[in-house]
Amino acid sequence: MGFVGRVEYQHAYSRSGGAQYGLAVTPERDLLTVYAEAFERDADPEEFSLEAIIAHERGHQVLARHPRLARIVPAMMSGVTEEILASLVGSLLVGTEKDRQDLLLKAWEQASRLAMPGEQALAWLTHLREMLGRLL
Amino acid sequence: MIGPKKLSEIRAELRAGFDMTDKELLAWFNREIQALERQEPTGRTGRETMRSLRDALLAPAKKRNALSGKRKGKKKGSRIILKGS
Repeated sequence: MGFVGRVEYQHAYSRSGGAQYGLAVTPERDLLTVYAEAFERDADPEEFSLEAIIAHERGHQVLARHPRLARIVPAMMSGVTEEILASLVGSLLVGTEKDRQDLLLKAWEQASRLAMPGEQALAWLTHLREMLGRLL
Repeated sequence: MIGPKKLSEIRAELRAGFDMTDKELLAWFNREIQALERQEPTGRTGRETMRSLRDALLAPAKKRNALSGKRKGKKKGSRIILKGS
């Protein structure tokens, strides 16, 4: 997925869904923590794969570290907006259609929290992903 | 964080947001994709996004690389033996 920095595995359950990104002073010190549930989800054919979970976290890192994106993406954005963008970036990084679909569903679900009608959210996500695809 | 919500719950919630049958929803998505194809500034990624979202909701792709699947395909004798222990 291209993650830069330290990767840790914690044999514990979190409320993260499987992994968490930690922004540090430098990219090399950034931290990706993977939890036990990431592997449980990966083993379930109806759930997010490990690759999708990590791609979402790499999406957070790209938003923070990519020279062009970091300039454009506002530093102060809501947690929901950041999660949407991380899923969209992740969906551009994954190699399988299943992972792409799952990350897009996640972005769509987050967008629906912004009280946006489903059809409007779809148009917005399509436009946003197109723009991200051009920048990356 | 991708969050603990199950993928099946996410799909069901999003599907419930459309008061249409599967056939009507498929037709709606296909019209949207055709409209994107006619729009000059929209590129391949935009159409791919709409297609993937359509399929995610109506005909989800199957996971091929799950750990359970890998185990099934493992060849006999491929286990790593640690020497000197």
